[in-house]
Amino acid sequence: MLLLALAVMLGVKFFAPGLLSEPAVAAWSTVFVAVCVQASPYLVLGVAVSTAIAVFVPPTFFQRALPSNPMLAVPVAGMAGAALPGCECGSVPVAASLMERGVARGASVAFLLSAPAINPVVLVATSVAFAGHPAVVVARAAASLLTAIVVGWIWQRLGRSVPVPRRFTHPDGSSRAERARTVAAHDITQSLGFLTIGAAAAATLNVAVPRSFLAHFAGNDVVAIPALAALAIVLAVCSEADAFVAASLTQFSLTARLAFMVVGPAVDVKLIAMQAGTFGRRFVTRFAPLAAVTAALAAAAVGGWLL
Amino acid sequence: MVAVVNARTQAYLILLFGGALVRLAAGNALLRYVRPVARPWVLLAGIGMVVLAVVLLAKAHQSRGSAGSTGGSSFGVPTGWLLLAPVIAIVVVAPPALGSFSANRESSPVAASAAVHKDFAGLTGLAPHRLGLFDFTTRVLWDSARTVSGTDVTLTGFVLSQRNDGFVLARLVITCCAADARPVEVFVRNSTHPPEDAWVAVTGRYAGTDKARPTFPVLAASVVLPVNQPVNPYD
Repeated sequence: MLLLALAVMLGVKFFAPGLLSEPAVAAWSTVFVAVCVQASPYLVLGVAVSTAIAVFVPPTFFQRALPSNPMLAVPVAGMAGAALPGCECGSVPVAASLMERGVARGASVAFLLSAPAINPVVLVATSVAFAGHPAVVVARAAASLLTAIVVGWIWQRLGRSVPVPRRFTHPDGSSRAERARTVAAHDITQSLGFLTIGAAAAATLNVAVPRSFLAHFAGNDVVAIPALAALAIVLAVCSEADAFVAASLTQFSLTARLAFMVVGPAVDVKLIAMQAGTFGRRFVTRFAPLAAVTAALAAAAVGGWLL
Repeated sequence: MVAVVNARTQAYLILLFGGALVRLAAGNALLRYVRPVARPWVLLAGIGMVVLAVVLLAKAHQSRGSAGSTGGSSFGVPTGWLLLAPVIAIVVVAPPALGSFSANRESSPVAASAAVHKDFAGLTGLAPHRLGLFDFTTRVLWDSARTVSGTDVTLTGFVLSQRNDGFVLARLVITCCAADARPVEVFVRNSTHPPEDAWVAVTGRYAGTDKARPTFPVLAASVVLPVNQPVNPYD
């Protein structure tokens, strides 16, 4: 499908250059390239970390570092997410590496959800965007951590049927350099490939859905929270920038804007594509709705309390 | 559909993607998509991919004939080939910076940033002062010292739309990449009507805010000059 789109793009470039000056087509291509380029450094960082975990961290390390009770490991892994400074694209390969190193599934998804949401870079960006409202930073960290922990617990209890990612064809016996090459090549190809699908989806929605349309939902939080949660999913703005987008949605309440910032790093179209590629479609059809609903509810609860 | 990629093809695809990033980071085209601060990171990411690809190719050359890894995924999409999409988009299509099409569709970020810009530095040097549209608008709305009143300023942006007594000048503000672009708009009162999407430098004086839209400053312009699109098209 994407290859077809490409063929069409190339054909257009050479045989009908006028179409590229069509504003919607040009804007689509620009946003597509922008998302790919912006995400690539984070993705490379994420792949570097996941490769390091796969190669240098012995499988027993996480079993010793995390509480042996998988339910207790969930909040610890959620807090540990604060240590990976990046946005959501980088945390997918890292979480895959964690699962493979035997980290319990609940703790792994808690990390997957918290890493892009509560790291220092994102929180500083949030405090700059909402300089007049320091409580928003606290509310964001609290609601995101709450989401990570609750989803982690639910996943630990009910997520038994989801298989561990199966990316390494080489047994642990192969040399370190060989494993590093295999893991890095695999992860970079897979994450970039699915990032491409996600970027195409985000660009399409960016061009197709004018944000001014949202004004209709601003009045009442009961509709505003789901509306901004849905916007976060379709816009797929990087978690380091989403606070500025949220700050600009001034017609909405702080709680509704909090929902935008809590849902976005947990679930969006490019993450759905990347997670489908990494963990499989069965994973994402359950995980994405669970995370989205939990994040929206956590934002509503924490926002109602703090904002 | 194309089958899954073999190790060597996969390495070439990573090489192409990394090469496209390096090429983009080496020039000004990068600024059509992301902010200038991203440049070293995009460059590093590109170099990292190129190095990885070269190592993979060297190994594939050594062990010619052995079975390699694939870029296939759990549901049969040949993810490896997808890497070609951004490569072609970057190198061949090279899409332009966002303009009036996007500016017309988004809400303005300015009102939200009130608290961020409370302390404004005074304008130094001789008038006309060159200001960004975002800077100008925030000064108009929240600067208690009124640094933009009674002095000539020059604003550069593109023409968003025409009005009877002038035109709307706009610039897109980005925080991370072009996907989060939002417009800042200033109404320019002048008898010239440059075409939509044309880049102009407008010199004039602040003349209050628009009656219908109070976050919308008015500039009474004395000079409107056509200019080239700035190297960094965003504010």
